Order: sequence, then structure tokens, then C-alpha cells
Amino acid sequence: MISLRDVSLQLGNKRVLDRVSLDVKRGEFVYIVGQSGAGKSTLLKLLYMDILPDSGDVRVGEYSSRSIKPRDIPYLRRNLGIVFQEFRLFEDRTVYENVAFVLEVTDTRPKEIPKKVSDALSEVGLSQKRNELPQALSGGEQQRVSIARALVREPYVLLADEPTGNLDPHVSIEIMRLLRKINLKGITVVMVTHDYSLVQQVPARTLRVENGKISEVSELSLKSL
Amino acid sequence: MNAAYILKESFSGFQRAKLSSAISVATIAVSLVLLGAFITVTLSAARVLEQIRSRVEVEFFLSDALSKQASENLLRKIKDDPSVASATYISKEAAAKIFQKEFGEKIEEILGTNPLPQSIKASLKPDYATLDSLEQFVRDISDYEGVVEARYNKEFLVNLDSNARLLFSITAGLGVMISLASIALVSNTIRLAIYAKRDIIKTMKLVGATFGFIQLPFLIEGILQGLAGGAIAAALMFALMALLRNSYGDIYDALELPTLLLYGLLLALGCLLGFFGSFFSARRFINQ
Repeated sequence: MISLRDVSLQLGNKRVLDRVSLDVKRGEFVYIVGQSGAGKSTLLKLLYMDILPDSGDVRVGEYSSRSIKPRDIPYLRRNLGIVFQEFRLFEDRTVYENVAFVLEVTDTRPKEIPKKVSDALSEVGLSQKRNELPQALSGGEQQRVSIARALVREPYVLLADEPTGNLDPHVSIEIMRLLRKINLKGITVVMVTHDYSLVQQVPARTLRVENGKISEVSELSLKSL
Repeated sequence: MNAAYILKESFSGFQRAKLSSAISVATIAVSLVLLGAFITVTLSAARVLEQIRSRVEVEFFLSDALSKQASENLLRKIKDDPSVASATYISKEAAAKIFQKEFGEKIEEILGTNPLPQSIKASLKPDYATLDSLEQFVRDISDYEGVVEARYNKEFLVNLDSNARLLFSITAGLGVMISLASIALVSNTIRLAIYAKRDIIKTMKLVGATFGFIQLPFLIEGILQGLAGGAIAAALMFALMALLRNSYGDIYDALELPTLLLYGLLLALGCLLGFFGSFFSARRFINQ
């Protein structure tokens, strides 16, 4: 599903990744942890090919960083759902419009849009809030809208960059449960976080980015973090 | 491609960013009014120049020995020349009458004879009323038998040519400057308007919208803004002309009045400015 082979990336003077290899199987739930500035978010950017590696190969589904053309990148991203810490919702559009936006700009037949949006909103438990503007929602609800937006195209991978970073602990747990529920439906989830307590509460395969390398974190060592 | 969405987004761009859309439209309108006024003044100056050139004349004096038949043949040849607007034959008798009209005395009474030669006076078409064309024309006609002398105001033509060149250089320079300033101004204003929508562009890229799809609503919005700016500019030009007609009649009479073509040109230029301003600005953000 996702694989990195001998991937190296230099940004400015910093060696962000140094000959890194990694495999994520279909349906896995993977945490990416590490210090601020370690390169966690950069790793996600490599997966949605916002940046390409200096050397090595990043593969996501059928797309390879070695052969992908700029015009193919939008089609790769249609198979991914991306969630950010700061939600990135359009403040002047309703919840429904925010979610429908993804379908409107990616060649979905207009007739199919209302049902798909309703299903996605129902999935995240926000059917009742469809006509609200984002500022009328709590932080947790806004993040659920952004998750609905990421899910509405039925992606096979969900990339989440610090999705609980702006949320209270109890709301963070709610979001984690939601992500787990989504994962149980077969969607691969790759989540960047620096919140170790969250990882301990909802354990899953954990990878640590440190000094340009990626290493597996065992359940035992996770407890000591 | 979701055409309904693209059209909806293009029109709702006005609604969502009222201020920046209004500034873009106003900038396009002001630029086009400047350009329209410049075109009007330039065309008026060109018309004045053409009127002056249409007064350029050359007179060929003919030998007394040239028969009337030969003179008429020569007149026909001169009239057939592509540079000639009109030509008249002046006989010795007609020349004497002109003398009498201008000086109040008969030349035969002063000198006892009429020394004035028969002649042909030719007016040139404005396009040929330049020193080079005129000199070539004079050389051609002077080759005919019986043509003794050609007279024209060379100094006037030299000044006219030099002033026309100066006018052309100034207007061309000003035209280029106004056009470039308009393009820069409109492009920057639209860039600011699109900058305000960078989040939408970013999100569209992340969710898998193609570059063409992201750009299209901005292009349509740009064309609509350009059309609105062009329409306002045309209305302002019309109002300006009405003001001149009512308050400054002399200036109004001297102007080459804007035609429907100019108003159409303002609309078309508005669309082009809006289109290219949006094209380059949106592409810059999309490619980031």
C-alpha cells in the first residue's frame, strides 16, 4: 500500500530523511511520532507528494515518486484523505458545503454529491450540523467536519497531521475513536502526533522519526516515553 | 468537469470577496478610461495631421511652347498618379486673372505682356504628403517634356514630417507606458484578490482538483471583472464626451469622437486584462 525505499531528503541544511525504508500494509493504523521539527509532517508531505525525495522511491498505491508526473498528482490525492491540525475549513461555507467542495472539484457527478456528503457527515456524527458555519462549531466538531471531508471520496489512505493538536484531551480521545472506527472499515490510517499519552491510550503500530531515521517503537518502550 | 460548480464559483467569487472584486473592477475601469482617453487624443492628433497634409500642394510650371493638347495630356497623367488627390490646369490667361485678383492690377498693363507661365497645380493624398514621396513625385513629373519647374513648400514639409515623427514617438511611448502600467496595475490587483483565496487554492490542490479545474473559475471571474471594468470605462468615456460637448465645445469639436468600435475595444481590452491578470496570478499560486 505505502512503501518507502532508501528515501533521502534534504531541506536547506537539514538532512530530514536519510536512506529511510518503510512499509505500511493496507488497513494498518500507524502513528508517526517524534520531536518537533524531526520531519514527521515532511514524511506525510512525501506521501501526498507535495514534496518529492532527493533519492529513493516513495510508493503510494500505484503511484511512485520516481515516475509520477505533476499532472498525475491530483489523481493520487483523490485516493487519499488528508486531515490537518488546524482543520482548514472554509469559514464562509456551511458544513455541508465544506464537505461537498471535495466532490465538486474532483469530477463527481452532481447528482451523487448530496448522498455522499450525507453519508460522510453521518459517519462522523454531524448530520444535524450540516447547515452550520464552522465558527458555530466546537473544535472537536470542526475536526470531525475535516475528517468527513477527507472521507467523502472514500479514500484508501487517511493521512492525519496532528489531528488532535488543537483539541482538549477528552475531545482528542473522541477523535481517536473516530479514526479507529474508520480504520476498522479497511482504510489505512497514518497519523502524525507528538502526544505520547494518546498513543498509549489508543495503541497501534508506532514509528519514530529521529535524526533522519525511522524506527519502530515497541509497546514496551512506548510505556516508558 | 463540473461546469455548474465552475460557473457558481466564478460568480460567487464576486459575492465572497466583494471588496477585492470591486477594487479589481475599478482598477480595470480606471486603466481603460486612461487608455480610451489616450486613444481618442491620439486619433484626434492624427486627424489634425492628416488635414494639414491634405493641404500640401505642388505646382508644375510649363513651357509656353507646350501645346494645349500636350498640357491636357500631362494633366491626365498627373491625375492618374496614385499620390494625387486632385489636379487643375491653370492657363496663362487664368494665371493673369489670379494675379489681378491678388494684386488688383493687370499684369499686361504693368509689363506690357503676360510673362506668367501655364501651370498644373496638384494636391496630394495625405498618405503621400511626405517629403520623400513628394520629391519622388516631382522627379517623375519633371521628366516630362515641357515641365520647366516645380514649386512646393519644402520647409513646411520638413517641419511637418519632423513634428509627425515626434508626435508618433511620444504617443507610441505613452501608449506603451499606459498599457504596461495598466497591465501591471490590474495584474497586481488581481494577484492580491487571488492571494486572499490562497486557502481555497491550497485545499483544492490537497483534495485532488486538477490545475486546470482550479484555474478555470479564476479565469472566468477575471473575464467577468474585466467585462464589468470595460463597461464602466465605456460609460465613463461616454459621460466624459457628454461633459466636453456641454462645457468645452471647442475641445469637443477638435476631437476624433469615440466610435462604437472604441467602446467595443474597451470591453474587449477589459476582458483581456481580466483574463491575463487572473491567468498569471492564479498560475503563480497554483504552482507554489
